[in-house]
Amino acid sequence: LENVRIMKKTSFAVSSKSVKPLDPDFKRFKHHLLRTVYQGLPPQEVKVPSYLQEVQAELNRILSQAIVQKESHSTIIVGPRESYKTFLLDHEMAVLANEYAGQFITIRLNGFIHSEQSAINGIATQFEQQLRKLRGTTDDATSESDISGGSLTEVFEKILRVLDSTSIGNQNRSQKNGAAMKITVVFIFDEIDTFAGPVRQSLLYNLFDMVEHAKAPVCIFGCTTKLNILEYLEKRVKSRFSQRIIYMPQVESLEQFLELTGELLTISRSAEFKYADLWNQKVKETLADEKGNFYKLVKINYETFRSIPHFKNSIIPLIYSAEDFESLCKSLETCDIVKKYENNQLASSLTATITSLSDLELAILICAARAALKAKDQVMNFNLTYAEYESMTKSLNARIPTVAKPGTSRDGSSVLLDSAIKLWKKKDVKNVWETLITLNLLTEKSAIGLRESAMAVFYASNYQLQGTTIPFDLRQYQTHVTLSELRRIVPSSSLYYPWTQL
Amino acid sequence: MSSSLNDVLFRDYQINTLTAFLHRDPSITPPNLIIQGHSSTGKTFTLKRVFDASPELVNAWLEPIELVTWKPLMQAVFRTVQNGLRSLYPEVSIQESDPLDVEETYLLVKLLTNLFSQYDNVLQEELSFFLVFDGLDQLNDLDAVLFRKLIKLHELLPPSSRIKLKFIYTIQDMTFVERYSSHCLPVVVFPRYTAKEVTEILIATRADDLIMSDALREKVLKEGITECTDEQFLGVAINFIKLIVQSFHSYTGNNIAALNDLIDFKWDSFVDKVMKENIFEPLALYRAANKVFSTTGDTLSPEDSETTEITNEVAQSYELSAISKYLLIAAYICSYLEPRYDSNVFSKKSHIKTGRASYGRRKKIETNPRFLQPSIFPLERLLAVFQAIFPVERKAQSGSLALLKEEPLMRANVEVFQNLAELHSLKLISTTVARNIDFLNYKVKWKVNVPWEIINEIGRSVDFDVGLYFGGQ
Repeated sequence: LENVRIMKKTSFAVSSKSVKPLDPDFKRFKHHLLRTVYQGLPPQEVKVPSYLQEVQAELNRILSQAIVQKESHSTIIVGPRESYKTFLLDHEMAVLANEYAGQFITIRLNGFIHSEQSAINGIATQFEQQLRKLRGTTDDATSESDISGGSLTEVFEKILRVLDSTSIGNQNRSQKNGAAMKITVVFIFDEIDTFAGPVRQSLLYNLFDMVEHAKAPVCIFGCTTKLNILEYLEKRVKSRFSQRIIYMPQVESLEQFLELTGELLTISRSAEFKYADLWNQKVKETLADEKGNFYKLVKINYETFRSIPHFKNSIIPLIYSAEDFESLCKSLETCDIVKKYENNQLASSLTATITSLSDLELAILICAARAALKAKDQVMNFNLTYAEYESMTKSLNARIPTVAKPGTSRDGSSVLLDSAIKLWKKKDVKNVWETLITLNLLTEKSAIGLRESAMAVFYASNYQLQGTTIPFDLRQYQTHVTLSELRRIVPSSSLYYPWTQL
Repeated sequence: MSSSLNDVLFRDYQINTLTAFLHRDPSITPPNLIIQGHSSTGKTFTLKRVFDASPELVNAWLEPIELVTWKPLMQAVFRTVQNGLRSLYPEVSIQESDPLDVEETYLLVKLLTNLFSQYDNVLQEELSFFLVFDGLDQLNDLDAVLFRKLIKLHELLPPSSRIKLKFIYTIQDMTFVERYSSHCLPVVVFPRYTAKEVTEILIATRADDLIMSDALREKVLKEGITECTDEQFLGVAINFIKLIVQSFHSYTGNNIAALNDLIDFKWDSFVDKVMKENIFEPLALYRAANKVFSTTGDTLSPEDSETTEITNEVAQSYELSAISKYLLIAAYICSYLEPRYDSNVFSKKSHIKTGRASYGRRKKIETNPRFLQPSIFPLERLLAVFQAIFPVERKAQSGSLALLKEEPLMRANVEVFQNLAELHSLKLISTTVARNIDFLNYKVKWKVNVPWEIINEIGRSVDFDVGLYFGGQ
């Protein structure tokens, strides 16, 4: 046997595009544009969306009061996810860091990552690192203020002592006007509501207490998504908190949203790039065109998500895929890639999953929905579904005129495949049943899916569920789609469409 | 780049989007990227090929399914990053930390900060280090907070460090992704393949193996088929794959792994049917190998449809004692027949005292109770039914005095209770509560834990027709 084979399978995928040398100007421009969209530019160049300017000014005031005038404050910023809370704080800190480097240290905590216990350690380590950086000593030799060593209570005491005392202020910065200045400590809490749990809240208590009483200036920012954050706080914690809550502004009108979209795509330093002015002009024009695709997409986004970050994700592939400036402008006009992105986001939705099922899988799903609809509590199991499937297939086959009787096919196996619908055996359908479960179309009755915390998972893993001990075909399930919903998804040309109604 | 990715079929959009998001420059790379798709939609394959095609992207892979809980996951994150960096820059000598020190998420942040700070002076440019969590939702002890920890990790790492950690998650479960939709992470969805795509992928990946397989070569030599080109062999293999997909697509759905298994499983018996006459005629070959395509054969026990000669004794499901078998049957009857009709079904005695016998059920119930979950029964009822159905052979001659001494019915002796306890420990009979059961408590109720098919088989093995008790259903 010789092995000369024609590989015809991949031949259709040969790309016939002629490779052009990329325009280096455009490449630089594209890179800059992408960085603008990601807001990954150096802090001086980052543009803050215009609707945030009031909050930005407010934050700037609080921060400069704390850093320059050494006042202590505590503030909580409330806003939904992806509403630029962390972005604004980071931006302001970065701007101030240029001007007042060495005047403050930042300590960041995240309620997801730090627990009450580990937050203490987290504060201590960051303290150490920041102080070391401030003093310019990079050596790892244990300096005199070894805060993060020792047991938890020791660490906490040390933090409190260091923060409370004035001693950290007057190290080698006496060259500045002679007067020793204290260092401001800025705490940034993400998800501050997790520290404001129902039990002690001792960390928040101590930190807010510092704002009131400590001699060192302490500034605390908490970011949260909870509107009723004050109700989480204990009485004594609340009384120490400065009661300053900043609500992140929301986009209010379509005009504003369009403006913001324009801002996101506009390049500020237009002199550096050949295409920048052209591009800014183009963005403006496209946004103004109320019949254009881009305008429509922005409007859809405004009416559904109302979220700039969502839009950002979809515009990035569009920008990146452009090969030259003309194609970039063209794809901005047509917005095919954004539309593709939006379609792709729904490619695993419930509807898409159902349309991707094979005929048997669809038949079983419909039968499960039928069985669930017949039951009082919308619960069925494999047995009931298979019984439904069997009777439906039999009644369907009874109405189809068949040439060969299905019963006589034992000897001559060639007559098995006639126009009748194949009735799959119970043990074969079990495979299909499990496929439907893994595709999330069926759920075990009264199942708790994902647990909230690691502790809950631990308890659940020690508990043997009843559903796992009973036989496979008696386990009770519920469907994710009801029969009437299935009727709208299954095309009316389908063989099983008549089944979608009792 | 796209030219070297030609063997990734039907994933052009996904590849384009991935290359738009993944760069060596961290300033134009999102910190988190989700790749979602049901099983066998080519997530891992495509991502691996994308990384292969662009060697400048630094990547490391984690398999959360092997890591079971969050703590090994966090430790593995640190270990992979540290090892990855060490192999990337072997010239940099660093002070290594023990990955097992990561006992908490915050310690991961601390150690990573330390690690990255050691590279800060050495590296000239910023660099994204891609860490791929291949199947994050496959982590056994997954909880809702874990993913939030991972996606927020980049905010706690120092912004000035040269190495930027970028996470890529491949996730099967769409509901898991939807839970975090307000975080607006970029998502690339891999939809399920269609039947046509599945066929083409299978042909592209499997046809060569099938031609090169030993089974085909031996058969061809044995049959003495000489005048046959490789193209014709390819035709046979492609035809076989198409037939497999056509026959079993409704059974497997668009699952490539399952179809692959069926191809492997059926190829040998298909090749066995190849002869000189039918190798050039697909239709004749299909006729000859019809049996291969009519049943899935997806079982480890012998197929009952084809092996009808195998008698009941051989095909017994369980090797239980006679008492156990009858106990199990009695338990099944107790669970699925209503207690109020028991006296009608089982009463055989002639009545010395006057009194009416039970009439039994008037109407047939609508749904077959066997389809539903078993109901519970007290132990006494089980023993009564057991006694009613257990056959006792009379050894003594009729009319003899020994007959008086002989028990006409089976008593609940030690063996019965022993067998019952054993059935419970075999999980064939279960109780209402699972833990710390007090068997002697009157409150404990019992139920059978065996489906109808098995009970029927057990009944047949002792010549007891269980079906009769269920109205001949």
